[in-house]
Amino acid sequence: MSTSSSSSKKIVLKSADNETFEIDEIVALESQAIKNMIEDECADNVIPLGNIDSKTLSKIIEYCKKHAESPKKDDNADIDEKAVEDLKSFDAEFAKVDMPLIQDILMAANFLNIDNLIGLMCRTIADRIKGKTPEEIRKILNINKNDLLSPEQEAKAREENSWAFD
Amino acid sequence: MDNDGKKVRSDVNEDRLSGLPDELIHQILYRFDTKFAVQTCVLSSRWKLIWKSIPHLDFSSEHFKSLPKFDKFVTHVLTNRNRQVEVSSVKLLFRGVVSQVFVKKIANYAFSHNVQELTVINWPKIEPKNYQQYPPCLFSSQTLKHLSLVSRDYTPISCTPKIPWDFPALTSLHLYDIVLCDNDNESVDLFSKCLNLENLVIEYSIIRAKVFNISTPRLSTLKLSYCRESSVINVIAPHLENLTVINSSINNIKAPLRLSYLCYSGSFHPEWFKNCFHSLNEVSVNLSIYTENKPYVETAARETINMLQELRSARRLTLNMDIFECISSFPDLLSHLPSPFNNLISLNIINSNKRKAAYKVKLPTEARNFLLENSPSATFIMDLPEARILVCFREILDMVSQEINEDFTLFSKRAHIRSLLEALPKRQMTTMEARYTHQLEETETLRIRLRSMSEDLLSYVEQKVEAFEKYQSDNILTFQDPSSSAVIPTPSSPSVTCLGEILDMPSQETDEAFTFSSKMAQSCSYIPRLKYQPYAVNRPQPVTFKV
Repeated sequence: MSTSSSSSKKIVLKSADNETFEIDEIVALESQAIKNMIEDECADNVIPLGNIDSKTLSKIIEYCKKHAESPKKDDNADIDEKAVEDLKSFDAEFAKVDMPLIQDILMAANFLNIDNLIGLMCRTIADRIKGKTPEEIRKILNINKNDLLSPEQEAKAREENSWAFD
Repeated sequence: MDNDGKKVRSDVNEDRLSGLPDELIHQILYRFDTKFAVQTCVLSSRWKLIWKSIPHLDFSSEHFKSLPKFDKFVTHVLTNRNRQVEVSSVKLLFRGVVSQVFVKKIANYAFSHNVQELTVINWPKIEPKNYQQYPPCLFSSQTLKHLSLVSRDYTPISCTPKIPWDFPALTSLHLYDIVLCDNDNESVDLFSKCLNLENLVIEYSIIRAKVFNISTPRLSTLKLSYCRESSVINVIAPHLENLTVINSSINNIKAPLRLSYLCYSGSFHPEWFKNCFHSLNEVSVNLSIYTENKPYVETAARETINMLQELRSARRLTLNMDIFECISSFPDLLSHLPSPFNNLISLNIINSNKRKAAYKVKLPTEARNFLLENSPSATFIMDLPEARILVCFREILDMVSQEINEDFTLFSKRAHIRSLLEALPKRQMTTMEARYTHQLEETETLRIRLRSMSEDLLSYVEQKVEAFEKYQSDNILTFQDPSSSAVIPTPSSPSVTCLGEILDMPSQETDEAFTFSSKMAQSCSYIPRLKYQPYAVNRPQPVTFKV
């Protein structure tokens, strides 16, 4: 298992609200976007993330830390099972946050290109809207009221796709 | 409704999702069937057209009142969908026979949109008299990588065409409960054009051909499970690494070089085990050759020995008890034979599936030598049900003791709160007590009840463990001494009955005993690993020893 040691290379991330986070390079590498920056050597000491606030960023770092430390698949079949379980329960706990934060994390994970985290957030959103009425889904997703269809438009959409509302 | 009045919202509740790229919204919708996806069109103007460009299609007739309604839905989706967007995966699940028009429609649409993954699952609602043909167009695609055809019939009736399937890109194929071909007079080679096929699983299916060839150059994993009615099955797979054959018959196999994992389960000695295994790593053979109340016959023992000799390159070997019993019954056959196994790391003897009768286990020197003589460092594990039960009981015992320890913590916390209260000046103490007393009392009552229940359970489980340990030491002790050839009691002996008594069960059958114990174990979320090397590590292991 890889552990964070003080001697390993550090990366500093700076959030939109100017908070800095020093993390091990291996943790940062969970982000494909940062990985590319490091590989292309265009990462300075500090990587500014102008569109991610510190609350979201610290959640993302928490996620990346856990996933970077967890043994990767194929190393050993025996370790796998336990590690996979452990990671699963971590993910489940991690996703227990409110919808605005989930959406922020999803946006940021998309920007940073962290595949697993994108998947986790998408699944979480899917779980929350499952079996819900359109009205409930709008509420859950905080859909912008300006974007709502007028009653006439909604009726028209239903009419056009009536074969899906049987 | 007028939206203008409610325009202002706080930043915190801003709709971030609408700002996401379509791909992420598609990913959110990935878990939903296409009907739900279409219905999201009324959510907002952002969502109105989203469904049209989703790259995965998931059609399920379960969400429709009738098949015609479902058919109408399928047609509308396919015509209204954005045709520019390719389809990555399609899942179709329906009740009805596979010859329906919409199956063809969906296949054509999917294949013309470069689909990579296709799953077709059906339940024939009515019992048709004849086989129902899958539409032939379902068996030709240049892009398809994964195909699953699953039918849920009592007897397979969904039949595939017999011409070779044209899937040059296909890497994995799963066939479940279907009829392959339907012509007993022809030789067929269905997968010869699937040049990239790596993973093939055929389960609960009927294979009807004079000769059925599984011949494909890249195949690395093959599983045949409960495949019936086949006359001759040939496997020609030079890259085969993993082979599983369960209650199915293979006649010839040409896959000698790379095969490293072999799992065979059946009632017959496999004749195709001939000169074909050179670098086996893991082997598991489960032969159901025990017949109730009959001794093993010598031919069976000879065949079993021959079979074992073919497995000589194995490193990790798992055999069922029948095999072990059978060869042990004829020590004379074994005495002059050298052990075929030079590379064994472990030998694992497991229970036979479904067998009701208890085992007559002996460990004669001949059998032991035959299996282990040339592998001095191999670990030998006898996986008797008694050992598993004991392990489960010990786990439960641990859990219950932990519970009781937790009770002490609760008790001391309560005492601490009490002492803190008493340290307060009288007035504060009275007000605080007014608030706390009830809660403390409740906690105490609950704690005492829990505690007494735990203690009851503890003493019960302790008794069980003790009884089992005694049972083991009386009966299985012999295994700890490999040179001994003492006999485990036969089914009729009192000791085995004693096992049933220990378990409070009317039946003496050890199989049932195990089911019972694994249920118990599951209820504590301690599921014993039943696969390879159960309890080999860090556990009291009365039946494991180094030879």
